[in-house]
Amino acid sequence: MARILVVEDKAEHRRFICDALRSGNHEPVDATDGQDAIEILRQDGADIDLVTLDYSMPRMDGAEFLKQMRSDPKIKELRERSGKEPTIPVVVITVFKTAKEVGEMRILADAFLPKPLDHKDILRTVETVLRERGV
Amino acid sequence: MREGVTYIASLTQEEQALFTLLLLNGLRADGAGAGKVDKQALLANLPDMTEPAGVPSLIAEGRLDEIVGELVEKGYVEMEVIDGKSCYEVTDTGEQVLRENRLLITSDSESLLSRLLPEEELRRLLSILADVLTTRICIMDENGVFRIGSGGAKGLCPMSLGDTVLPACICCDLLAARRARQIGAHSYRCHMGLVECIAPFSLTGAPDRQGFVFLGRIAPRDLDVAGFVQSWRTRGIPMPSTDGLESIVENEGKSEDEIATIRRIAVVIAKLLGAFLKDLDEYSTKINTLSEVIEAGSGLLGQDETLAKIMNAAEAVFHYDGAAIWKMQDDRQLTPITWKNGVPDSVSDAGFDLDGDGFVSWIARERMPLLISDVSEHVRMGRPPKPKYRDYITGQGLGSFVGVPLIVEGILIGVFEIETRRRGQFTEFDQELLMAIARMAGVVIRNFMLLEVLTDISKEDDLAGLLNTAATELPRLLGAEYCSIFLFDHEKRRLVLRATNSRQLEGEVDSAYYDAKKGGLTWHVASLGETVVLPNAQHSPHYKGHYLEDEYGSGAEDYGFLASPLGVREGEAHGVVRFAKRQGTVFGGRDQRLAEILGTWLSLAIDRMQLAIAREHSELLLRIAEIQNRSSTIEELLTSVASEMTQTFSCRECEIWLAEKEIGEFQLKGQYGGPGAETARCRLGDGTFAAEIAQKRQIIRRPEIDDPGAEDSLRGESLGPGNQLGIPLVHAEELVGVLTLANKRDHFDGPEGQFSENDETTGRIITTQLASTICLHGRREKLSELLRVVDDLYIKNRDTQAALTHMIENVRVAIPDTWGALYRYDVSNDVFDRIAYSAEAGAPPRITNVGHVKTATDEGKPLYVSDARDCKEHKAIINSDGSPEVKAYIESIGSEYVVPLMVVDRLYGVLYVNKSEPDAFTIADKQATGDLARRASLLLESDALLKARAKLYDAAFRLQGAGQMGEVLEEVVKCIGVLGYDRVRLYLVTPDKRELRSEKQVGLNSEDNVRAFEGGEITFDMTEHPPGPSILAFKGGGPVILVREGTVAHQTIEDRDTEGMQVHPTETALYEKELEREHVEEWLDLPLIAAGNRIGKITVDNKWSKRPFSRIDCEVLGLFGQYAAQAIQNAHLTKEREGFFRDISHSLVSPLTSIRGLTVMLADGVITDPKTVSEYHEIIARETEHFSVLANQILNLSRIEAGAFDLSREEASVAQIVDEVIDLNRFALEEKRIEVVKSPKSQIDVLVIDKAAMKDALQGIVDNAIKFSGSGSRIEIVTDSDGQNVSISVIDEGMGIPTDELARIWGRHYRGELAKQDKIRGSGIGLTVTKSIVEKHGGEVQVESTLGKGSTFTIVFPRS
Repeated sequence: MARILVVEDKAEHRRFICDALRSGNHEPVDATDGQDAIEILRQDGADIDLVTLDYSMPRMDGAEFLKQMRSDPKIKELRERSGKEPTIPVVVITVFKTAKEVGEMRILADAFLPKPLDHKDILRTVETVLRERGV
Repeated sequence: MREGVTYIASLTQEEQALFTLLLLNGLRADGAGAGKVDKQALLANLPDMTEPAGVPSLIAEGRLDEIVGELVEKGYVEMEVIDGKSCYEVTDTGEQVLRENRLLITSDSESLLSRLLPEEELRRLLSILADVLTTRICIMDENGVFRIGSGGAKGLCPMSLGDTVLPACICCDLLAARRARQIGAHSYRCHMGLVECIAPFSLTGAPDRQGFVFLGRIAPRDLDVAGFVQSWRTRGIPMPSTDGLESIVENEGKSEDEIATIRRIAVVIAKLLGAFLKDLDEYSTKINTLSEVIEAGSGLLGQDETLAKIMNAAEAVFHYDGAAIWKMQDDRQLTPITWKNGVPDSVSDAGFDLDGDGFVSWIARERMPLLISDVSEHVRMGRPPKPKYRDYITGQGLGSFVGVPLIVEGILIGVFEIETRRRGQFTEFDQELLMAIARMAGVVIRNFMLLEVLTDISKEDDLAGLLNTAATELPRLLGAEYCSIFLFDHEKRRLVLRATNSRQLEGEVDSAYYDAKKGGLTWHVASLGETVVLPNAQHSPHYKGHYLEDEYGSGAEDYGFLASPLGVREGEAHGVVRFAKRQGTVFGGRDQRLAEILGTWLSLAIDRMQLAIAREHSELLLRIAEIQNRSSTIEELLTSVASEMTQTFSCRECEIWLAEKEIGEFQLKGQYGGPGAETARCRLGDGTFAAEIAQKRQIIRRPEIDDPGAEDSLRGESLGPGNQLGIPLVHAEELVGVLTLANKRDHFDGPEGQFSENDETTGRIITTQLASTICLHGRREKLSELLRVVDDLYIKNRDTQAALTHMIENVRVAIPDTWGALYRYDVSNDVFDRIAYSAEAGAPPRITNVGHVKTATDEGKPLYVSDARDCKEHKAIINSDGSPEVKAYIESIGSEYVVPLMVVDRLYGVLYVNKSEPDAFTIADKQATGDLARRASLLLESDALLKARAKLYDAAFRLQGAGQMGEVLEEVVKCIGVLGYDRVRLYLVTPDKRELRSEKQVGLNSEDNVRAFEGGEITFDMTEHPPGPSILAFKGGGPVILVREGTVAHQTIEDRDTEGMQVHPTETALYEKELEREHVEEWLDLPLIAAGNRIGKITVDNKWSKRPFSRIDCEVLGLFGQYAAQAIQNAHLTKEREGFFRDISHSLVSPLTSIRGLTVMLADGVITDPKTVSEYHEIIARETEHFSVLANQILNLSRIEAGAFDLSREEASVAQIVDEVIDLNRFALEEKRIEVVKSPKSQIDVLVIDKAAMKDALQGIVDNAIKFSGSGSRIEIVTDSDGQNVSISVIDEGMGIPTDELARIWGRHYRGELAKQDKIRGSGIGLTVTKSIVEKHGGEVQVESTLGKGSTFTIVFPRS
């Protein structure tokens, strides 16, 4: 049972990912883009256990989101205050990427899930990451 | 006008003062200027001019300029400064240099002259005299008015000081004053110029018409003019002594003779003027007479006629009773050549002895004029010389006598005397006058004497006779002791002594010679083509030891020499005539001129004679030439020649043997009438006639054959014993063969004759030509063989090095006695690197581009150094290098031929061909060298092209390897380095096609060594009008070489024909910064054209190497440009395509993600809530629909791209299509909370269209509108029909489209810049498909957009 921030611009996909997480007894919190997500994290960063991230989004894309999330002092402060690991685990769920982008994501994110996918893929990966990070 | 003042100011104070004084007084005397200036006021302001102290104060007050300036401004005087500059220019060193000495001062004084003489007569007289005397003549009348007669001076101004007439005119020839001061001696008495002579005229009375004649320039100060004029006025006709005049004679630049002449002429003029004034009619006759004398002096008339005219002129002037001109004969006798009034026959026959004591002998002996005004008084006083009976032309009644010696150029040629019965008739003036006439007469007589001698010489009918006579007669004309004549032997390239009057040399005629090796005066004269005077052999180390001793014994140093070339043509003299005389009587400038005349004449005579000889043989020579043209082989040629020879010499047989040098044998190659077998051979020393001639290398004439019997038997007929003539065929000292003739007969079948001396001469002339033909023929064959081997070596192995090495190592084969070296030009270092050389001679491995090689390569033509030994360049090399090898190598060169190896304008190298002898190259040698050089140039060019091509292929290969745009551009730039250019700037056309923007600017030393490129980015405005040269170059079809001149770029195309272009402000500004600062004079612009589209431009330059661009650069870069453009275009397409596929896959994966995810969750039973299940089904259905729309678009696009899109029409309603499309996008609309408003403006019937396609088309627009609309905005769909057309408009409130992108939105994979920035997903194919579908329906899609406000897309199509 984890609280998971779903960052996804496409409504259908957001719905699907949230329902998939719910089916695994997780609690999804949704954001339509990176900007949205940063705002949520600043409020509620201490309680978010994991972020699923669509890499290509309008306004703020995945890479930019990751950069901002990891450098935001507010989020860091929230996490530290609650005794949580300062970096929130990230699972990237996105469509096909170039090798370069995949490489980049492997460094920046904990896991990478290419679309299309099913709920089992999401749950398996999310749970593996949570276990690895000891959440 | 101020310049005029400056002029004045540049004079000395004294000059200024005098000038002003003269000027002002001139005005006052003239009176013409009255009223124009307040003279009184002007003069009142002047200090006392007569007071010397007043002058400096005038100048000190600085008012002189003002005064003169005022005079000028008011038009009293006019100072004309020719060319508008100051007459004097101050040079850097502070020296004043006179540029133009004319200063014009006008007044009305011209009219004064008309009071003196009829204008025309005076002018005619004076112009004749002035021209002859090359002086200026002024005449002053009793009113003090001077007149410049002619000679170019313009100034004219009457002058007087009170009652005193100042005998000066302002002809303002200040040059003369300057010169006078420069030479010092005369400056103290010459302030305003020089007077060469002053003489009063009116000697014959007529006091109303009196005056002075001045020759030369302006009056001297120390001539007591006032006293002179005064005495003239009071005493009537003064007779100033010539002694008085002597002191004012100026000899500026003139010889004593000339001055004397001028003085005498002045007297003549004075006298004639006086006579003229007395009796105008008589006078004009005399003027004619005088001018006729002068005319005669110029050699226009015959001798007798001329002498008669001289005598008549003398009679008209002197009114003598008798006159005679005596001429020196054989240095001893004086005989009359013309006389008047009875020289007795006895006198004319015998003449006077030089040692006689009579008047004429005395004059000749003493070389002095003799004036005896009263002969009886002279006799009574017993003064020498005595009048001899034979002096009495007029018998006992001799009263007065004047005689003068005729001396021309220092040589006494005779005596001119006049006599009269009246006592006291002749005065010193008559003596002067006679001297003047005698001078003319002397020249005339001398010329006729020359002519006589030359005519005598010309009478000789053979060359030897001609030269011998010339050698005997010519020295007499020059007063020289010895004369030797040398003619040039073109075969041996030496000057051979052909005639001399020197006993010592007599035996050496035809054998003594000079050549380049011996050098010396004579050779020097021949090679210079100029006359040289050597006053003293001893003091001329240059000529010392050069054979003079051999000719003149040990006393050569006691002689002075004069040598003149004969017949210089094209810089080559064909002989030299050389004179020698003992020191003390050295040759002068006149001797030199005379020698030149004699030389010219002699060469003409020789020419004429040789022409006559040549004419005799010309027919035969022509026939040989003709044979030569039609013969393809040497055998054919020689056989035909042999046949011709038997005709020419009227003999039975002719054989031509050619030397085979390699084996020392001679082979019979051509024969006529002889018995020899075709393969007959002889060798030196085998006793045959041919071998003997070859051995002796001289013509042999034999009366009989050695073994008549053998000949007979060979011939098979009995002609009796023959005789033989054998001639060696020698060309350039090389024995090429032997020609033998046998059995002379005068007529066919007639009695046998003998070969004569004439036959020898004829034979020599003909065989010279033949030998040269054979030699050239042989050389041509050798040269073509050499070139053939060179070509083979190159063609078979593409081995330039081997080919050129072979060429140079065998240069001696094609050009005898030479060695050579071949260098390749290294443009980066401006040096020449050795490629090949003759191993036996060696050659420096590297040559810097200076001296000869620079001259040759700069001028682009071969340079022949005829005498490399004396060559400064070579000495400089030895001095600068100093190594013994280089010294030895350079010193071994006698003459060299330096040929630049160029193709069109590109320098590839240089070829040296050297000989050890100076001046040793024949025309054939030069031609052969040229042939070799041409081949070498082509080989080097071909090599360069191959290398360039290899580099090009390498570059193209590398470009193929690069995929991404960045990589491609990087590679393109690097390839330019590989191709060997210094710097490159790569421009790409901006997407809006308005600018050409530089993307890369790189300096390249080589492929990997990138040097700094200081220039920054450059952007050209492509829309600028008119376009600048760079844009024109970009718009052109291929590479263009641009040259900077100042800030103007010129375009040079192909053969560097420059096409001037106007200064272009924008480009000038761009380049000023870059090119001027960086000293780039030339660059090459290369448009990048891919599939007909200009996508960019490459500019390369050679900033560091300074290598000029040529056609090869254009070719290589032209090809490279195609590769580069293609690679850039490919990279561009790859980028587009990648983006396209990426967007497409994104678009496809997105619905698939929903479908798969939700389906699997339903299937796994994860979702059981019925409401959620139903929602899932709905999403799955919609996403499936969306997926199919996308699939449709892709399919449509591929069909459109393949050109296979066909409509399948059915009945459909527009409203329905709109509804279906809105439904299709329901989710997206809901998500963005976009309100869709349907506005049907009119009822639209059911149409027959491709419904599915039209839906796709509308979907493209609606999808687009949703994507670019913000949340909560509105989209209006308006449907309308006007009876003909149906329109569906989609109006959004989105971000709008920038104007410059509007035209491109229909592009295949176009995605707007804003879309990219905002990361809006999209396939980029929607609008493309829409457009194609609507167009397929015969309609069109219109778009209107305002940035930030929204866009309206309208589909318009016909109802049916």
